Parts: sequence; C-alpha cells; structure tokens
Amino acid sequence: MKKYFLLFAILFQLGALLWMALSREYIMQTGEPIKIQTAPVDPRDLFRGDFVRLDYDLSEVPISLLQAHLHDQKLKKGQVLYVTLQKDSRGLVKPVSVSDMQPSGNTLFLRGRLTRNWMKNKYGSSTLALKYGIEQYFVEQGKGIDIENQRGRRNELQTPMIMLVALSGSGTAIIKNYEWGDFGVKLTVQRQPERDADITIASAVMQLEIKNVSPRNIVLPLKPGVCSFRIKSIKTAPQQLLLEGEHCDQTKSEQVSFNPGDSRVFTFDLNQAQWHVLYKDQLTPMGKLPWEYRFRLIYDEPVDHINGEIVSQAFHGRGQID
Amino acid sequence: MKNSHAWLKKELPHWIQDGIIDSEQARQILSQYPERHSLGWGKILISGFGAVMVGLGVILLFAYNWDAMGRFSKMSVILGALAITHFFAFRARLHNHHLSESLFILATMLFGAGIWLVAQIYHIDEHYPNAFLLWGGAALLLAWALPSLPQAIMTIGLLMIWHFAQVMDFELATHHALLLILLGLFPLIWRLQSPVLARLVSASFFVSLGLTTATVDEHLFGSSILLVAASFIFFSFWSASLPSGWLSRAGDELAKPAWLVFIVLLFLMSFGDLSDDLIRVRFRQPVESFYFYLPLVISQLLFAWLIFRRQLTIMTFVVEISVLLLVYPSVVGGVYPAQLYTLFFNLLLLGLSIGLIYQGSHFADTRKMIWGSLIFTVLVFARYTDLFDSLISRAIAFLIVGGVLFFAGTVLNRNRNRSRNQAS
Repeated sequence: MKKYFLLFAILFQLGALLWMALSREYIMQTGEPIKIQTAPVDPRDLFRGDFVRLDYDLSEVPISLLQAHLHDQKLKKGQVLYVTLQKDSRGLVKPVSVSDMQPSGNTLFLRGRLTRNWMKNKYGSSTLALKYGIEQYFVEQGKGIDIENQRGRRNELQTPMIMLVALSGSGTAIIKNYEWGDFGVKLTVQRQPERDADITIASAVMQLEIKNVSPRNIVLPLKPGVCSFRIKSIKTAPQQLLLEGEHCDQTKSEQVSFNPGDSRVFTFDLNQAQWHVLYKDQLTPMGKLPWEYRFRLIYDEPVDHINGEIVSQAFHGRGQID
Repeated sequence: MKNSHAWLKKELPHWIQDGIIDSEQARQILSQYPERHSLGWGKILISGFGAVMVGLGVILLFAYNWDAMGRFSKMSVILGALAITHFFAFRARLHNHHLSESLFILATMLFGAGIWLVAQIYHIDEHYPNAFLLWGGAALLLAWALPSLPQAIMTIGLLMIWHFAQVMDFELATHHALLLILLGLFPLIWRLQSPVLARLVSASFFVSLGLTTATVDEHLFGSSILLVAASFIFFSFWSASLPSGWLSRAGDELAKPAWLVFIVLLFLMSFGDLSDDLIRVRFRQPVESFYFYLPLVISQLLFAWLIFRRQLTIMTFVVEISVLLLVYPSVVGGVYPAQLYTLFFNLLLLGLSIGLIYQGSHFADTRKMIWGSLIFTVLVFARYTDLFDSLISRAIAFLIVGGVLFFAGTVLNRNRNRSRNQAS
C-alpha cells in the first residue's frame, strides 16, 4: 500500500508536468488562430533567461464594454473575467464585451484576470486592467535584445509585434509565434506649450512619422491633412471624452504608395478645435486635461492588406510621450 | 540526548557487574529513556543543499532556452531528468535511506523547475502563485508517501510563498491555505512524530492565519490570532497530563510558536494606540464571525476542560484573563475603558515576565529565565518614554531592571549549583 502511494506521488509529479505541456500543445494544434498587436517593453529575467514583456491594447479594456450588472460591483484584483472578441479579416482581434460568466456557443473569447481592483467612480475606473497569461515571450538568452532593437525605443521609430496566438474554447491563449507589423511609427513633439499658456496654445504640436518597414510595396489610402487619423483615449482617460469628428467626413482619400523604407510625417496641432475633447461638459484643449489622461493616434482607414495597425505611443495633450 | 542514551547503554553492564542493579532493573531503567532516532541533520542538510543546488543548476541550464532545441526535446529532457531521479530514489529507498531522501529532494526541486520551464516553453504567464501551490502539493504528497521530514519542510516553505503571494500581490485572503495546513500538515506531525515539524507547522499556521485575517479585515487579525494561540496553549496544558508521551510532546512543541505569538500580541496591546485596532472586531461579514467565534469557543472549551481536570496554573489564568479582556469589547460592544485595558495588558505582561523569571531562577530553568528577562527588559524599554519623564525616574527604572535581573541571575546560579551538588 505504502509502495503504491509512493508511486502515486511520483506519477503525480510526472503527470502534472505532462498535463501542463499536453494541454498547451493541444491548444496550439487545435485552437482558433488569432493575432494580437503589441509593443514589447523591458526584456531580461535573471531566473528564466531572456524574455520580452508584452503589453497589449487588450490589457486595458474600456469600462463601457463591461456588462451592465457588473457596473455596481467592486471587481477585485485577481478576479477572472471573460473578454469577448471580434476578429477582422486580417485575424486581428478587438474586445467587444467583458463578462464574469464564460460565454457560450462559438463565441471567441479570452479568459483574463484583473491586475488591479476596479470600482465605479474611483481613480482609473475608465478601464479594466487585464492579464491573459500571454504577457511574456521567452527567447534564447541574448535574443531579447535583438527584438528590443527591432521594436525600437522611446523617441525612436517603433515597430509593433503581432503575436500569433492559439485560443482554446475555454478562453486560454497560447502564443505560437510572432510577426512584425508592416509600419513603424515615431511620435515626436514639435512644439510643447509654455507652462500656464493661454487656452488657445495650451496643447502640443505633435509629429507622427509612419514608415514602411516591410520588404514589400504597400498602398495606403490617405485623406488630406491628418483626416485619416483619429485619437483614442487609453488607460485612465475616460472614453466619453472624445467627440466624433465631423471636419473630415466629406474628404476623399487618395492612394499613396509606400516602397520599403518609405516614410511620411504628419503634423497634429492639438490646439486646433478638431482635437478638443468634451471634458466636464465643455470643449477643452487636450493640454488642459488632467495629467494622467493619455491618448494614442490611430490610422483609421478601412484597410485589410497591411499587417498590424498603425498606432502611436501614448501621449498627454501637453506633449509628454510615454 | 542520543549521546546520553549511548552512555547509559555502555554503563549499565558495568553497574550489573558491580552488583548495583540487576539486569531487570537495567532493562527498566533503559526503557525509561527510549532511544530517539536521530534524523542525521548534518547529512540531510548537506545532501539537501546539494540537491537544491543541482536543481537550481538545471533551472539555469534550461533557462538559457536554446533555440536549436525544439520544445519536444526540451520537454523530453525535463521529464526524463525527473523520471530518472525518481527511479533511482525509489530504488535506493530500501538500502540507502539518506541517498534516497536526497534524490527525492532533488526530484521535487526538478519538478518545481519543470513547472517554470514548461511555462517558458509555452510562454505561459498565468497567475504565478498557482505554480507554488502545485509545487507544494507535490512535495506534500511525497512527504506523506515516504514519509519525509525534508519534504514536509519544503511543503511548508512553498505553501507559505504561495499564500504570501496570494495576499501581497493579489489581495486574496485564500482561506483554503489554512484548510490545507490543518488537513495536510497537522496530521503529518503525528505520522512523522517530529518536534521540529510540530513547531514549524504551528508557526506556519499562525503566519497563514495572520495573512488571511489581515486581508479579511485588519481589526480581526489580533483577536483571531490570540484566540488560536490561547487554544494551542490550553491544549498543551491538557496534553501534558496525557499518558501518551508523544501527544504531550507535540502539544508542547505546538504551543511554543503560540506562546511567542501570545507574548508579542500582549506587548502590542500594551500600547494604547495599537490596542484599539487589535481589540474591536467589526463583524461586517460572516467570515469575521467565523474567525472570531470558532477559536473563542474552542479555547473556552479547552479552558473548561482544564478546570474540570483541575489542571489550572498561573499561566493558564494569565492567558484566560487576556482572552476575556480581548473578547469583551467585540462581544459586548459599547465603550470599554481603553486606558484601563492598556494598564491591564502592561500588568499582565509584567506578571508574566516576573513569573517566568521566578520559575526560571527557582527551578534552575535557563530558558524560562532568558524569556522572562527578555520580556521584562523589552517592557521597561517600551514604557521608557511613556512613563518616565525625568532623568531620576529613568535612572531608577534602569536600576530596578538591572537589580532584578542581577538578583534573578544569582538565584539561578545558586540553584543550578545546588542541583549539581545534589546530583553528585
């Protein structure tokens, strides 16, 4: 009896490791393939060799997507939530809704855990911070630096990584591989406002360079000026701040060809009325918003032939770039 | 103790030969001092340390994460290394206990490494405390199956890391950590009959209880821990009278961390500012009532049993008075005399320290003497700034502390010499 118990304890260890590996292997082979765009930060973990830490757009989900019955509850750090996804023609996914119950049927969803407490009307309550178990990508020691170099650093051209993920029916995601986005982006400040500047010049003038870093020629539809771009609020900035722009609705786009290595710079004067946001029921320049409110510039034309989205680094209206 | 037993075994034939005792008396004397099997701590520590080092080496080796090695090759090596280690450990268990023990420690280390390496191969970044729970669970199974003290100690360490991570990184009270200790580790004390394990399990239970109750509500922390400590202490008084030598020993060992916890809490409650946070439980959730009333009922049942068995001592009264003072504001509610409470707790601590010093010096018990002196000194230093304003009163306080300790030390020396003389 004692011998069999010992054998059971030994087999438990072997079985647990085998189960961990096989269950992931099964998802890799049979899971739904999806793509999630990310920008990596901070490689190196002394204990596990090099890895790339991954931060997704999905890591901060707007609270507007949370199911209504959860709005009055306190959601605790570590709590499991299910993020229903919508996949576009390129395979890239976007969050559609967030629930505490596992969705049924053929719905595509990710199982995540909250990484900070959430409560209505508390600081940072405009988004849910979630982790899906795919926030680290391990590479051979030393190779993490290569990825970091290609990704680019602060104030440099940054190329997004597109993680190729297999998704199981229970929402467990496994990273299979990664690709590089077709376009790199570089956000810089052309002019920063003076401290206590007048409300008409309280915001920064930003420049966004986009560059074809792929080995192929790509044609992008572009409207005049910066009409092909919109601003997206992230993390702590409330989603309802942003107005739907009407100034560019009538403009038509032209097809612009980008050979490999070609780039183009767009200037965004955030003092212009088109970038003002609705804050405390008033149209407010972005430079006058609270310091923690952050935004991204997004290329917003319907294209399905480029890998990844063209998204800038996060910034504050006064020109502070994260 | 092992050396004394060997000495006795060597001397007894001479005593029989000299006609001092007969062989039956020799057998009876020897049976009074049963041989305690040494665990061979030196060997265990060295081989255990070696196993841990080898395990860490394997982790770092695989952490390099060669691109050239496919994930199936990596998995084969991890599982192969674990299987081979278990195979040799299993085979060695009958003829070389120490080697088998060391190999099983190495296997558990490799299993832990394996969890992280599988995570690395499949880029898993899940709720990381779960890895420690799985690792601790595997060590616990081996601790039961072998049975093995080193595996039990590893289990305690891993479960503590798991619970600590759950509370500190995720603010999860993790009530089942206590259940795991109660059901998985407490019965193991009985199986292994190890005083070291009894002490460690008791200490880990208090750590886990503290982590859980502080997460539920910081006001619950003090009451719950003190009530459980009182239960352990009353249990040790009861078990001391039992015919089963081991249960009595286990009770004594379990109570050691409980005494430490009890004294530290009394000390904290001797500060007026802190005592209110520790005393008044708010009972906003049913779980608070559970962690308060369950240990309260158990401690009072054990105390009632001690009264029934007429096993009361001054120490049991000190503990019971502390319990009653502590629970009164939470159970009865309303205003309680906070300043009087602070005074009471100071007097209880003072009484406890003097009692220990008296017992230590009178019965030549150095351990009690040290504990009593320590508590007495810390208490005087803690009250140094509160009570003694002038240099004269401070000087008098130091003179009294020094005088008491000097006098107690002299009495201890005298009584130890007297005991030695009587023995010779």
